[in-house]
Amino acid sequence: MNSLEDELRELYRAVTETIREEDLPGLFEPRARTRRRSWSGAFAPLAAAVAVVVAIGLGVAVPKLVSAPGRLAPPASPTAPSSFAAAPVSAATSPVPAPAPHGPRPTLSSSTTLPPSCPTTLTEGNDGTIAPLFCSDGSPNPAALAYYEGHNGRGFNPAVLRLAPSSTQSQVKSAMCADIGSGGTMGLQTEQQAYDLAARRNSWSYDINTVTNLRCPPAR
Amino acid sequence: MRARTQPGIEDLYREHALGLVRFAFLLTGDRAAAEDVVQDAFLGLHRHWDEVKDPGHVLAYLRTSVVNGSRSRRRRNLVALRLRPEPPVLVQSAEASVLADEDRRALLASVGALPPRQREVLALKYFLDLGEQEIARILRISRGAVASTASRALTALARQLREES
Repeated sequence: MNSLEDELRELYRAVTETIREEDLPGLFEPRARTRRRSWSGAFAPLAAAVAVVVAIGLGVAVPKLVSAPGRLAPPASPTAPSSFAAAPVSAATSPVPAPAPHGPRPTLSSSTTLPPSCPTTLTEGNDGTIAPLFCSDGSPNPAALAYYEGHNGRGFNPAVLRLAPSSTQSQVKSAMCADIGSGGTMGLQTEQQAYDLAARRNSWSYDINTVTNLRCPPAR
Repeated sequence: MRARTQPGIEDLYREHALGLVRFAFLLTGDRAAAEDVVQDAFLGLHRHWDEVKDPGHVLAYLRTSVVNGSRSRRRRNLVALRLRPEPPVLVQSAEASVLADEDRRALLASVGALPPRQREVLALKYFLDLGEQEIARILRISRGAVASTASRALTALARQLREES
């Protein structure tokens, strides 16, 4: 086989394998969510560094814990690893901003949050579907909710968006079938979007897809 | 397991998003743009989902969308690039370890200097391993044009690499 062709294949493989599946956003989800996830990862070394400083500070401030120069006495040893363990966990669970390339180091404060980006201008398809459905932090886009809750020219007001968070999967399916049934105002795609919004808002994790697995009783 | 007669869009995304983003990355040279291009491709598919008659052609549709989206991105960035010439973005984006090999770096730079159509054909042929007929369908050109474009691209690459060595 031509070596240049082999080299090309190898080059493409090497260049693209830096993109990993776990870093990709979900379908129709904004990219920012991916970045935020990677920020947590980027903060792990910083958190570890903070933990080291704290551990060293403890060693200096409590010299009695040190039995020999540069070495922690047995009572101190169990605390040191726990400090190391705790710091990265807090970094991973707290949404924190990306470190500025130049300037003071941000503190790992739990009150520091990313301002979510929620576009108010929606792109509307011919079939009535819209984008973006979600804000950059993954929450439902208020503009999208308003669109589906009736503030549109299409007469949408799906029952699935009026359900209580405690609704069961069968209640959700019934509402969706009513929405897309003969008397409903929703199509399969728009109803799926309404469900996706409702599911995110109500923390539902039901596996419902209007195209692939929602089976509605035939209209009477 | 749930029964289905054809895969839904989410299944398609799960199955093909990574390959499509990587493909778009080769065309745009920009990771964020590649993700956007693929999302746009799926959005277009989503909007026309009801019109999908042959699920076997969905992937080709997505690949065509990615090619077209990447072209649009390139055109949009053209003015900025003219005002502020920079080395190919792909070279900047790739990790240093990937490009530690000098020969590979030179090859990447040479690929980046090819005309867009030739880069598209090479990526379709050597990254996605598609045949000429499939490439012709995606790019909406003749099979003969695919063959001649690929040949010209390889000749140009070989010449450039010879000149540099």
